Amino acid sequence: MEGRRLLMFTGKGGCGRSALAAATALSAAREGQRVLLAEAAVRPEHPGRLHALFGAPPLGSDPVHVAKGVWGVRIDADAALRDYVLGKIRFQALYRAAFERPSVRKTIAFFPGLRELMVLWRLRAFEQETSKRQRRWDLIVFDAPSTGFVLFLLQLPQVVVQILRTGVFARDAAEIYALLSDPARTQILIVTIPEELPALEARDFWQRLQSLPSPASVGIVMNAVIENIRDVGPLPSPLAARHDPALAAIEAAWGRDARAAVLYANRTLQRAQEAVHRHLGMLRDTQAPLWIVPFVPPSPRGEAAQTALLADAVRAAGLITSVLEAPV
Amino acid sequence: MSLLSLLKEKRVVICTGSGGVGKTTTSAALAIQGAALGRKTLVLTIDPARRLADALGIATLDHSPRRVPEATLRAAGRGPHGTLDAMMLDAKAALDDLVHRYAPSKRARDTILANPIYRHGSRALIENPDYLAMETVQSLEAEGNWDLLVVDTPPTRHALDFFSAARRMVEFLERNRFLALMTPRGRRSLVGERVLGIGMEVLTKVIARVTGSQLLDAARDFFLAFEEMFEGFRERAARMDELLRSDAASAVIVTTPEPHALAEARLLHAAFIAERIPFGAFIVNRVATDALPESILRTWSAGDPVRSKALAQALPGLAGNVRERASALMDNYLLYRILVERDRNALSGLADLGIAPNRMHVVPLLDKEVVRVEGLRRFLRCLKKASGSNPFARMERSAGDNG
Repeated sequence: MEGRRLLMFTGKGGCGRSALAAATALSAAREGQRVLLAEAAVRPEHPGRLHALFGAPPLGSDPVHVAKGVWGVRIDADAALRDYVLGKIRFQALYRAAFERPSVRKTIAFFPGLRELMVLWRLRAFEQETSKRQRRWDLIVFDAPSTGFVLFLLQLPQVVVQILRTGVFARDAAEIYALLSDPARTQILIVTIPEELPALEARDFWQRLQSLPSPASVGIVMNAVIENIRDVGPLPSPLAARHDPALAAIEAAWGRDARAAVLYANRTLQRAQEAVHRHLGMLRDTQAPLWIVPFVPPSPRGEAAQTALLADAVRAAGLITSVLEAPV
Repeated sequence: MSLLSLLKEKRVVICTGSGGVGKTTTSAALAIQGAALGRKTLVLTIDPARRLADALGIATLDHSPRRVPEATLRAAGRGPHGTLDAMMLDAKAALDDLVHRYAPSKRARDTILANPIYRHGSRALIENPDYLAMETVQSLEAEGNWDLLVVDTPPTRHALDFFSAARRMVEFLERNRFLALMTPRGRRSLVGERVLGIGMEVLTKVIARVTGSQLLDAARDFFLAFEEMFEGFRERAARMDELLRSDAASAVIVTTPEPHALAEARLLHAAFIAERIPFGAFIVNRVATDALPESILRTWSAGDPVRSKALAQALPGLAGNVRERASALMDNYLLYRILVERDRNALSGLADLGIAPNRMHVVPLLDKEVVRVEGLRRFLRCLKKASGSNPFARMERSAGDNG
């Protein structure tokens, strides 16, 4: 199929970004695609999250099968840097002498955004493997570490112009940027939830990305929206609850505690629903492409089962089909 | 020690936790409580939470402390005995402050500020501002204008980064002194330092082949300029480490019942013990709570037909529309119950941490967003109650208060 090959999930922590990336990968695999799901190990000691979502052992730097049609990989910035430099220098001995001194390694790692660039360079290599000739993958799904990471990547041209200017590295950085900012190849998805700060942050981030010189294709995914809430009309305050005939009936049947609990639960859900409307309204005003993924309760059968349920929800939300279509 | 005694006695209370768990709100609520206890309090937030500024009744939150009006403290249900100031970390301003304070000369300062590595490296420091937050805390502490600093920590990939920020900065600068040696000019200016192994010229050429030589030059200039500021950094890092581990400081862990937030909270708790950072309290935010007896619940969750039957039996002769609404209210209740189950399971997993009951606080999922001042007031009311060793038991007894 023709269309985008790279999906990058980003967004504030706590919005379910990794879970959504995993579910999207699974959902695409069910459509018959070969999907590579990637996470970045910017800090090597942190074990990563994606493997657990498939009930698999921690991921390594070679893709491993984690579910039908889905392979998982963990891109380690240091390993990517080594491969990159080796690819450029070609003399292993020279590489060892120069780059494997601890002082040089740590120093190199400091250069602004170098680690991020290396992760992306690796990702780009995987993306190249989606070519018609190779067809190793059909789709790469990347769980990007944070909004700061993505913003940095999209500001690359300025960095290149001001610091790097010339050399192999500058040329490669430009290629990475070309991949990210090409709406026909890449889609960036900002994951948010129906709460004040995450929703505001998603909007601000979207606007910031739009103000860049060459805006990439960016969409927003509102995650964990509780659905199937029944309309019960206006709810009374706890003090006036006894004057509400339906609540009075519940009290008559099961007692005051039941009435209080039912009212509290309904008020909380109603608040959640109002928040969804308010935040969706705000996000719609941005004109950003927007998808809504319902809240999926945890599965008692574990995280892999949960990911499978979330994949159903992702499919129902229309996320896969619409983001994979290349823009006209 | 309870949360209230922490706010009464400590000089620095640091709110840590994964991103998106309500650290900023928690910091604001704790600071209001600190002021109510009669202390001159300052809250330092990291997120540009505009709504928080509104809730506190101040026009803007920025890098200078602003006084929160007494009216706000009263509206939050706390008669003001002390005072409350609020400020937001502006990482760029904090960094420039730092350079201005420590650069030994105007020339060194200008060299640093104009250096392209500084300009982009500073972006990394600003996007990931652990170090700058820590630095700001220390200057505020040194100013001595406040009895209590309540600190919101940056949404780093790993919340513990905040505590090691100073040390990492020193290590980083130490390592990178090496860079200054990599060019002929750099070596001339650092006579006496010896380099072993392969020749410097070769090494430099190899590295430059990949990075381009401008990058190396800029990096060398940067570290040469920073060299002179180095002692200042080392001293401050040592003082920060000392402050964080002293009796004057306390770290509070904020989390939600979300699995990854809890996982991060557990890591933090373990790390505080290992690193001897005084642990203050555990706050679980946005917990779906419930007050309904299990016996009733069992009838309800047995399934739809039974539920309607139970309702029909319990309420014969109920008008159709009232029964319909009662039934809808109960359906919603069952939907909510899914959240309650999720949170109950998540929290029961915390039992093995062995946290003292008076250090465990659960804040229910409120039926209003905590962005206005009355929201902060309710948040505080919930916070003040320690939840006991089984947060759920306590919560179910008190959930009536939340309605």
